[in-house]
Formats: sequence, structure tokens, C-alpha cells
Amino acid sequence: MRAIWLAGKDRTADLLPRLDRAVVGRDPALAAQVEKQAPIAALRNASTEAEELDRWLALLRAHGAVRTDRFDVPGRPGVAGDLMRGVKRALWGVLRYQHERVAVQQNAVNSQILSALEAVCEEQRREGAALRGRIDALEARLPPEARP
Amino acid sequence: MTIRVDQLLAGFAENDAISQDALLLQAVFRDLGFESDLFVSQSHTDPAAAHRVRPMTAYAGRAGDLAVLHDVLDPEAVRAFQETPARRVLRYHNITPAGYFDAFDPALAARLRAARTALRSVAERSRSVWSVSAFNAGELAAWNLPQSRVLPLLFSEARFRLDLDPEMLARISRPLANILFVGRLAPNKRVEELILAFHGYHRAVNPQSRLIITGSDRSCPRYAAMLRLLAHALDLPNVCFEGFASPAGLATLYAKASVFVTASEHEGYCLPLIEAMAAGVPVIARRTGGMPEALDGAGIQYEGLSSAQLGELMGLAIHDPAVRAEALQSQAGRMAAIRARKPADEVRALLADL
Repeated sequence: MRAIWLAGKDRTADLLPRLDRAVVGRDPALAAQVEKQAPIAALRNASTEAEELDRWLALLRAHGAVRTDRFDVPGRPGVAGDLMRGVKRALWGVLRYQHERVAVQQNAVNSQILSALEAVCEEQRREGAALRGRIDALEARLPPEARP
Repeated sequence: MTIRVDQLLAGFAENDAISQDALLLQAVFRDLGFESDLFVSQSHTDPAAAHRVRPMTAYAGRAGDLAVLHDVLDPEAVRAFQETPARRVLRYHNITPAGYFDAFDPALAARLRAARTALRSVAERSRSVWSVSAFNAGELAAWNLPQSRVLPLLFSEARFRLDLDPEMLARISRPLANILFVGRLAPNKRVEELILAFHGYHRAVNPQSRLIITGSDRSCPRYAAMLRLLAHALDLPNVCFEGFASPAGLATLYAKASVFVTASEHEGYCLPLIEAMAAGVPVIARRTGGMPEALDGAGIQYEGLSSAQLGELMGLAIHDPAVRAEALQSQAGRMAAIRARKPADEVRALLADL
């Protein structure tokens, strides 16, 4: 049930339609951006820690890169704000060769760290499986009444 | 010999709601003529606040004394509580349902399940249980405890009467609309809902805005990592993770907040709602758990809204003068009621019941 209370009074009837109208009037690209990132918020729905870790690593692969080409330049409202925004955008373009170089270096570092992390996880899994196998074999040697 | 009323806590830190409640109770006990100290395991004490507490190993309750245990999360505190010859009172602040942590921290989830199990036996062996909200007391109702009482979380504005933190002021000096959340970064708080809602507000309503998320990220680091990843993926540099703020830092954030928002699904009471109201900041909260009690009809409460709708609701609370004024007026009334509380009388009545 969707409901809104303001100062203790149920104001769903007048406030909810206002919210709905505003949401409908938004640029559809915004909803698409949120939809695209749904797998991140959905990490909380993983049923086990191992599943969460797998999904997390996959997401890091997808989001580990720094991008400086599509950079949103915010601006203050008004003519002065628009002017400053234009100047900042132009400067960003002029400095492209500098910030892209930094981004490439950062992405190389991110990628190396992620690869190392994945390797450590894989190693731990192999080690865990091997130990589990050895424990199972040892337990199999015990008389049935002594097995855990 | 003076009767002692000592409190045993699972942890202690400045700005922590349970720690603040214990400090205020301690002041009340002392005003009532008792000797009173706080006991906490040293490993669970914030070094900056260590001067306020004594180590759990030093606790030695006597018959005739009173021991107040705040929650059952620390086995050492529970053991000391159960072994003491003093009369026992459990102060129940709630235990977050373990299921929230299964994906992020199974060990913590297991501790929370164990705490739920321990809660019943500890409650049954206590002379009385003082819950911080009727919501919490309701959780225990099925056990038919003879002495289940409600003593709402204590609150003092004194610690917010501080000079604003110049460092924090400098960090948030740009005149943006500040949407504030205060609380541990834990999955039950649904902070991702706030980030998604802020995305809509920031992009569609007011680009001159920031979301300030303040609170410890140590209780569930993988959840905190998820939140940072989400903010990064949505390209929201104006989502500011401030971590655990100092008292002056927190006072600064409240002073500069345009609105306080929480999407938390499970709260025993939610002290930050009261703190925000005391600072004159309009609050938006999900109508669940102990939060409706904390607000008692004040502010803005919601149920079942999408993150996009929540973003627009933030916009109403900040930009619609009528909505804002109505919310603030109701909050002023609620704060007047809270300021009129007489904790000493409330505690005296509870002690008379024992």
C-alpha cells in the first residue's frame, strides 16, 4: 500500500498524485539509468555469502573502469551558471589528453587489483574444496556412531 | 552503603544511541542518589570515549544493587549480568533481524540469531524489561513477561549545543540542498533506497544538492561497499559518505541539513529522528517499527513509495513552503512533548515496580 502522512494526517489523496505527476514528467533516461544499476542494489537479495561475492566481483568488472569522456558538468541556475558551465565543458574538452591519460592509468590499476582479487578468491575456493574433501575422507573412516 | 545501579553495555561510542541512553540514565540514577557506572568490554569501547566507562572485568555487583543490561549482543556482558547477585533489569533496544545480514556477513547474522535466542532467557531471568518503545515491548509480548515496561529512549539536546565544526563546515560550504541520513550503514537501513531516490531528485529536481550519509560503515563493510558502488555507477559524486561524525560534526550536519530522510525498514526507535527534529530539520521516515512512536505523528511518514516517488517527496519537503511549514510545526509540537519529559520521575516509577 502506498501512503503518505504529513503532520499525523493521511495526505495520500493529495500528495501522492503530485509525486506521480512529477515522476511521469521526468526524462525517461533517468528511470533507465536506475534500472541499469538494479543488479547492484539486488546484491542484498543474494541467498548466500558466496553468491553475493560472485555477483559483487562481476559487478566490479562491469563498473571498475573510470570514464572521463562522458563527464557531467554541473552548473548553477541562471545565465552566469550557464556561462560557467559552458566554460567548464570547453576546458574539459581541452584537457582531454591529460585526464584521459590519468583515467587509463587508474583503470590499469583497478584491473590489476580486481584480477588479483579474483585469483585469491579462486585459490581460497580450491583450498576450501580440497580441505572439505580431506575431512570427508577422514570422517568416512570413523565408525558410523562417531561421525558428526 | 549506597546502592549501586550499574549498566552493562555491548559497546560504547560517542553519538551511538545506546551509549547516549546509558549516559543519560546514569545521570538520572546519580540524581536519584545512587552510585552508577557504565561497564563495557575494553575491546568494544571507542578509545576516544574510554574515560566515560569502566572495563567489564571490573564489574562486581552486590546483592541489593541493580544491574541494567543494554541488549544481549556481547557474551561477556551477558555473562556478567547473569552471574551477578544484583537485581537484574534488561534495557531492550531491539535486535536487527539476522536475515538482513545473510548475504553480506553470515558470521554477524549468526551472532544476531544467537542473540535472539539468548534474549528470551535473559529477559525471563530479569526482574524487569525496560523497552525503548512499545514496538520493542510488543516483540516480547508473546513471552508474557511479568514486568515488561516502556521507557522511551532518553534524549538530551545538551550535546548539540556545541560550536559548529569548522572542518565539517568547510567541507559542506557550497550552498547546496543537504539531504541528510544518520545511522549505521546496515542493510536494514535501506540506504540504497536513499541513493536511488537522491539520483532522481538530483537529476530531475535540483542539481544543486547533495546526499550526506553519516554513520559507521564498520558494522557491515560489504553492504557499505555496495552503497559506494551504487553511487559510483549512478555517477553521483554528490553522495557524501561521511563515516562516523564527531559530536560537533554531527551538530554541524544537522544545522546545515535541508531535510532528514530515512528509508529504514527496521528500527527499535530511531534517535536520529529526534535529533533532526530538535535541530529544526523536517524529517521523512518510512512508517515502520518504532519510528511512528518516535515521531508521534510529527514530520512526514510514508509507506510503499518507489525510490522515484521518494525523491519527489524529498523535493516537496525542501521546496514546498506549505508542506515544509506543516511538517516543522508538527515537529515543534513533538519536541515540546519530548522536552517536557521528566526522566527522573519515569525512572523512579520503574524502580518502585521492582
